Amino acid sequence: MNEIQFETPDLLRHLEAMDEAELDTLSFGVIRMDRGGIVTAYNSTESQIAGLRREQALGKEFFIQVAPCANNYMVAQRYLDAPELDEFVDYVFTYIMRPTPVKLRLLQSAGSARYLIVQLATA
Amino acid sequence: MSVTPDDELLSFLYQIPDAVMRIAGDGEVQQINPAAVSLLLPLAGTARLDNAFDLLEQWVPDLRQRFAESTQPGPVIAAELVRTGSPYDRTLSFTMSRLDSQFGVISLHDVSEREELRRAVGREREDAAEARGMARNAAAVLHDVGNATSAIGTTVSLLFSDADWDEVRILKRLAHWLDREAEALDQVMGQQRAEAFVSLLAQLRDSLAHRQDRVEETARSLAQGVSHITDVLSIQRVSSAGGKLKSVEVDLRQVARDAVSLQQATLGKRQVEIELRLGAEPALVSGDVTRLIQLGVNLLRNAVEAYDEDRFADVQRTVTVAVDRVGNDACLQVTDRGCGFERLAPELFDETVSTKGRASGLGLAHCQQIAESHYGSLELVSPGTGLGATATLKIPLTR
Repeated sequence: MNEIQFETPDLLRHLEAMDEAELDTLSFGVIRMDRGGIVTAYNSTESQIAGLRREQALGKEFFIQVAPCANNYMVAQRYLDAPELDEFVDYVFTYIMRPTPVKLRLLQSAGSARYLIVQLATA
Repeated sequence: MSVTPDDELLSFLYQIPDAVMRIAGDGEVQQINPAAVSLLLPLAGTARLDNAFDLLEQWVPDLRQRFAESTQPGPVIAAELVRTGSPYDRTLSFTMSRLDSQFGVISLHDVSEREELRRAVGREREDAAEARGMARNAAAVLHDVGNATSAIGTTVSLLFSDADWDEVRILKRLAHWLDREAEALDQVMGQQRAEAFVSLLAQLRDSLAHRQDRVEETARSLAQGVSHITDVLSIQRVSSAGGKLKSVEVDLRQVARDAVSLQQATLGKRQVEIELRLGAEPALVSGDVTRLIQLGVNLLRNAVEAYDEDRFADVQRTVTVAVDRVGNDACLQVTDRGCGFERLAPELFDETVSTKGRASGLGLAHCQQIAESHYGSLELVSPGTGLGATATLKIPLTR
């Protein structure tokens, strides 16, 4: 699975086929949400980046209870605006108020889960 | 999972709607809340919010220096308004405080909507003040032009006061006398000279009479122009600030009587007979007496002018003025048997349309304006050219 990278084309199809253990092998953060924004998977890389344990995120409304810093038109709103979504966004997360530059990839398609893919930005 | 005080504090900081950043002395952002990211990312033009001074000094000059010069904890910059300009134009209320010897806090509150509203209210006030000023100027101009026009009207009317010029009358009498005394004149002056003298005098008489005709024609044209200007001013006064209605309860029957009595001289001069049919019940409306009488006079003038053409010279000229209650309205009707018209009625209220040769059309437009300003209506109907017309004014009854 290590050949799958942050920029891999067709990443959504790969992610849809992975279980939680496989998601944990990825070198970038993965948050899987249902259509209501509830976190259904939170991989270990994302847990390290955010400083948040998996169980603190699972079952929560991601953009309200876990990462309200992304609850705006630049990130959360994009999922509502575009049913077919594969976009790269340069962003700053505020994990425990720490400014953390990241690269995001927003993924969803009709019938799929929602994915927010996170990679730390290099300086 | 239990909620710790740290979680509560974090949740509190996350939910603050204002942008908040904790900074080091060199501007490095130590902590930042989600509102600050949402506000500053579009402004930054880069996805790095590493240094607050680097980012904000383009809008708040000397930020670095001002923070460095502050020594005691407390406000350094308090609620300073900052306009970011395009492409993402926001107005921010900017506050920076020193926390201790090392750190400071910057808070930003987006006040774009409030400021835009304030600017809009300011613009509206300016527009209203300008409109009030213009209305005052317009009323003053109308008043002054009205006075000047009245003076011109009086002067023009003086030109008509002498039916005949004395010089012309004397010359005519002299020419007539010389004609009778031609023989005596021949004896005194010799026939040739006498004839030349009489001819010269006749030329002088004719020339002066011709000049009199031209002056009278010019005066008539001037009087018509003055009347036109007066009509224009009347229309403008209704819509200008100085033309506000002074409403009282008034009986439309009295309005009809007053309008007829004001036009009595004209009616007599033009040999027009008035038939006044007033209902038994009062026709009370709320209105401006002066404007309503003006409307009545205009309708009467309109009816009288309908008999101006030569073909009506030998016709019995009658104008019927009737006032009665019709449903919930007071109704005033003015009917003539004059020139009539074929046009569609709405066109007649156009300021440039008239069915009469020399009229301007302003009279009816003015009448309609007065009717509408009383929440009423004015209709003009005619069975056809040469068959007369009826103007009907309706204004809601007050009781």
